[in-house]
Amino acid sequence: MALDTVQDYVDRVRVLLLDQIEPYRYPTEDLVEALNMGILEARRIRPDLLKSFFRSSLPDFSTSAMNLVVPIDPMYRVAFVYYICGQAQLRDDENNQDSRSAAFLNKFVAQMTNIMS
Amino acid sequence: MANADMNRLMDHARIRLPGALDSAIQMELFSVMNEFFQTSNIWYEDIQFPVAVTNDSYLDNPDAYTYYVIPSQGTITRLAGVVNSQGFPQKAYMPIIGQVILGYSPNEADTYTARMMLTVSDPVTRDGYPEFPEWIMQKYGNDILDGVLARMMSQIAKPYSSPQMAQYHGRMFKQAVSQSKVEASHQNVYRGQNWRFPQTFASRRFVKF
Repeated sequence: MALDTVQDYVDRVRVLLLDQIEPYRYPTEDLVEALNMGILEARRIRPDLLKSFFRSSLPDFSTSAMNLVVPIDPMYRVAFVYYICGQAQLRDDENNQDSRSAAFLNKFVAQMTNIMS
Repeated sequence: MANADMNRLMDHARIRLPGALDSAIQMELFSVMNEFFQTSNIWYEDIQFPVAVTNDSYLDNPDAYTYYVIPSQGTITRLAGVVNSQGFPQKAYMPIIGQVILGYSPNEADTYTARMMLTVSDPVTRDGYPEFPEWIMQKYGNDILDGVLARMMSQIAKPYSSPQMAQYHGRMFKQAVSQSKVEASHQNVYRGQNWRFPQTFASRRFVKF
């Protein structure tokens, strides 16, 4: 999976969340919002990833345009999948464990800032 | 389209800087080239400009002594010297970049030549690379790579951050800049002298290009 569009990210995240059968446990709106938050986080810890947005507002995706391309370098796309998973699992949910959420979010930061992750 | 030398430099940088974005490398490359040219003076252009006689003093009419020069590529950093059409040096200053002020009025209408040291400027190419003469990349490609690696590795909280290696590459780059400065002053002549003919007698001032 190339992880080009918003839909690609959501599809990949649903695999990791074991949430591929409707009705979904995690609404698509929440996952897209988590992607938006991931972009905000990336702007903080890896500003070079979003250099083209230094003089404009950061991209903000919604479920109305799932085919929009997410402007992230291919090297770092997987990290965003982990971030969305981590955000989704932060919810207080009987299916989730805090440690799993923390693991995903830490993996995001590690992949952004370290060689080995 | 970047040339083969530029592509080679980028490939080296990508391999040595895991996780680095091309745009970040290109941004640092611009800074490295700017430092390289500002320090070494290896890139210059001889720019001709017509001069006219004036009887006014500089204080009465500064515009009569002031000429504007624009390089065909890059941006001016400093003035190396000005010669008249016979090749004799003329006193000149450049208090503002691109604005040549003659020390004395010419005796006759003439065409002077100013040697201007240059550095990179915006806009870069469509690919995002700074523009400068190709021979510089051919000759100093590895040294420029050292500069890029030093700047990239000195960034904090990146997968390729490495203060120790940044210092190493920075040192190598500084040495290369010094070496290139000497070579430029010798006009790339091995053990060459930096003055040039004509020099009719020893006391005459000559332009140290």
